Amino acid sequence: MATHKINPRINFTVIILFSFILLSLQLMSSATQESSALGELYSWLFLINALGSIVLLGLVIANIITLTQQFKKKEAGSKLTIRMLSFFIILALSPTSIVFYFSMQFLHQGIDSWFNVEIDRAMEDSLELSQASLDQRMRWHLKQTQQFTTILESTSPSMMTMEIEQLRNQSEASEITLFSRPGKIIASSSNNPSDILPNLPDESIWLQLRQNEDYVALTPLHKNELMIRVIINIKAQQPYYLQALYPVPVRIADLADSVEFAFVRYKEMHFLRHSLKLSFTLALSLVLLMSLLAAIWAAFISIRHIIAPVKELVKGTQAVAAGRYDQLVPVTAHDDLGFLVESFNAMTQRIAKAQNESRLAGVEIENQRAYLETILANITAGVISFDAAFNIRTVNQAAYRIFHIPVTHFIGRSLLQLTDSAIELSEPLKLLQRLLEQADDIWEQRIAFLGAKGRQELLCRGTPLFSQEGLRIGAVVVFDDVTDLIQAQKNAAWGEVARRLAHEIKNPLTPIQLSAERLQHKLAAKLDVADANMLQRSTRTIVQQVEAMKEMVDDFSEYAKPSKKQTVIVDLSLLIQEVLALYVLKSGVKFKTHFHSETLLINGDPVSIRQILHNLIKNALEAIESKGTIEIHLHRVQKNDTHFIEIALHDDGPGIKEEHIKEIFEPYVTTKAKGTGLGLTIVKKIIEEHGGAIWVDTRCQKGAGFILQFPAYHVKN
Amino acid sequence: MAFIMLVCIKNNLRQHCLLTVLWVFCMCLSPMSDADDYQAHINKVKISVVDDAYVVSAQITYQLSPEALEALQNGVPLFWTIRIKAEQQVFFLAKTLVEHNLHYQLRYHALLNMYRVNNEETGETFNFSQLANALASISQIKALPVIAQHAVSTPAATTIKIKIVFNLDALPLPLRPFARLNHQWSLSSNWTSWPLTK
Repeated sequence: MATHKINPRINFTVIILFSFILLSLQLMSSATQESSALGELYSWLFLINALGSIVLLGLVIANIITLTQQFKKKEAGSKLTIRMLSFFIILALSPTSIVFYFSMQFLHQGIDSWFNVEIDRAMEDSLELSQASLDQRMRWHLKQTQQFTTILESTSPSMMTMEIEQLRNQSEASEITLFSRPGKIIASSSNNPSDILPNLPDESIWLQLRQNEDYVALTPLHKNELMIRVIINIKAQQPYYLQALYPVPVRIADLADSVEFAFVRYKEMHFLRHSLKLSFTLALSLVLLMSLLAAIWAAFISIRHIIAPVKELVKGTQAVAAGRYDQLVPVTAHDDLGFLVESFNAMTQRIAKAQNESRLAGVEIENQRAYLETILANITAGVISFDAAFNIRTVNQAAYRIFHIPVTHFIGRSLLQLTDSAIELSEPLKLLQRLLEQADDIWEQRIAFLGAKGRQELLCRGTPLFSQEGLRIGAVVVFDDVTDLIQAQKNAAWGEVARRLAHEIKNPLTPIQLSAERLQHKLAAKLDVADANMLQRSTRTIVQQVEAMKEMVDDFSEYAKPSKKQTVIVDLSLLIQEVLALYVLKSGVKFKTHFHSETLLINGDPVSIRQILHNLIKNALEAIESKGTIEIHLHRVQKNDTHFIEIALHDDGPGIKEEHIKEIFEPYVTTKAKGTGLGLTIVKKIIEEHGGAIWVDTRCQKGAGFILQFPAYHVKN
Repeated sequence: MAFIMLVCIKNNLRQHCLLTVLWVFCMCLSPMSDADDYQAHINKVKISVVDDAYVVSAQITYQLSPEALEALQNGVPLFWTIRIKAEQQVFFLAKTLVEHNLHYQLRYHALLNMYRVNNEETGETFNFSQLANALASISQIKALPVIAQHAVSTPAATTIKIKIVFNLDALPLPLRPFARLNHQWSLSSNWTSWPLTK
């Protein structure tokens, strides 16, 4: 038994692929963390996962297309696969969609909850508070610096440096610098002796100073330090700019920085809110999509593995249904399905064995039946078997030859139904049916009927068939056409009669005739006229009757003597025309001939055939009393693959009475006053000597008709 | 996608759902967008020899898209890298002789209402009350020594290449995938080649 293992490479590939998918999703999830080192790869990971989804989608679509094609082709297992897959998808989709729905809701609501008007306002206010605090400090330092103006305006240029040093020490300024109007440093003082060069204002500040009078601004330094830069205009003899730098206390700077950081962070998050939602939605959707597609693809693979044995079983079942028992289903698993497959294989093997034995037995039976049929077909007796309902079961060829109806067409039907196509057989068939139904034992019956070839006699023997349980299961009827046998017996008997008549009667006739003639010759002169006349009449009557008896005896001799025909090829149409030529001059008789255009030849004795025609025409003329019409048809017919030349002779006389028809060809049967009753008997004898047949045409409505058939002569090429 | 749409609609998230769908469509359509609108341009490049070295001076024009400007105003720092390299053509291959990267960061200081430019190479920080001034401060390359004269064997086959790279990977994480597909974030320039010798 063939056993196939599931390919482990497929499972390994699937596991590897799923591991990659999970790893990729995990990496993307990790990359979403702000602090993650994978942050820079986020876009690429996103792209890889999207491509992975497209690949999975392609795999799923390819599988769906394949499955659809299999379904359209009505391949085994496709319907079950679709049903299982649909069930799996529904099962997988329902919880994931619910989880996705609520995840999205929580996600979006969570992000939205980060932001509201109160927090917005608080953030704005805190920043404004910080700015206000610093503004206040700036204004205070501006005012403080402006107070230096009165002092410096009255200070001589040579004392400026000292004065500035003093002012710096008195104030909180970390550095005070005096610039000339063009921006040249005149004097500077710093609390940090290492600062050689004072902090210089940039171009924009100079530009602002030239437009406005004073300048005050916060300037960030390194490491979150802030410094307030104040520059005022001193209108002394020589105008100056005085720049004072006031450091913002570290605590205040830290607080301001903290507020600013929080504000910027909040603003940034607020700005990124939609992107954040979109990003999470996309990531979540991608995870869902990949998971679903991977699950569906895995479902395809799993279901295909599960269905494989079922598919093979369906194929195997179809093969068994189609009669192929030799097809074994491969065992792909060692589970319950595998056991089922093994059982199926064992079953099909047993069926195959049984079927083979049955086939051999059938062949044997068929051979025997064929042998029996051959025997039955080749025996001369007709055999018809019947079932329990007396419907025809089998029939042999001989039955067709005897009945001249295709009995095989009536298999499965009763005998009575044959009468529809052969009315002349209705009486004998009814008789047979009755015998079949009534007889409980072997029966024998002679049945006569008027067939296509005239009167036929059948010797029927019927045997009812019984089963081993004694139930009647049908019957079989064997019948022989004994017409010729009976006719031969009759002919032999009549031949014997004829010979005896010729011997016993003909011999005394000549002395009687001679004696009568002698009496006439001796006594005629001795008697008076009256007696002489009476003698003459008496002797003439004796002579005539003796002549008649001689003719009759000759006819008997003719009938009884063996045939001495000399056969030649005869063209029947010419022969008929020659015979008719002798009668056409008879007034009051009209001859109608209907000859086929082709030459119709037979192998026969032309003298005998002329005698036949003369006999029949004479009979017809006597029947119509030389006033009427005689029609002669000549054509070719085919019966049982044998060609015959048929002569149909009809007159419009009074016809033949029905009671005479069945014995009209018997010797000494005549309807004429002076007939011997041997004419038609001799005709029939001659025709049968030629291998032909004659019968009364019972179909003709008016007058009498005879059908003559002679075997046609085949011209050999 | 249809499933995601359905869930989003049920979740009253139509806007985001549509955005998600649009994003996917943008993936297909993005190459068709006009990406040149906000690209940086490199103008007036001057290459000269000073103290046996090739020095480069250039003028760069930055153009901030409305979206980039909005991001900047909302505290998102923007990062540029000015890439300058000397390439020598050897047959069909370009051999990089030297490369310099100048990294700049621009961010908005909400407390001081100022724009702060940070040169990440030197650590220097410059504050500007005007955005234009801040951008102008990173728009000029003044006599930057690129490569020593003796290091260039075939000056005729050597070119100076300059490219302004806007660092998308430095953007906040949620913004990155969309910034890659949005032409308003295509702030980088293409490589421009300048021959070492006239």
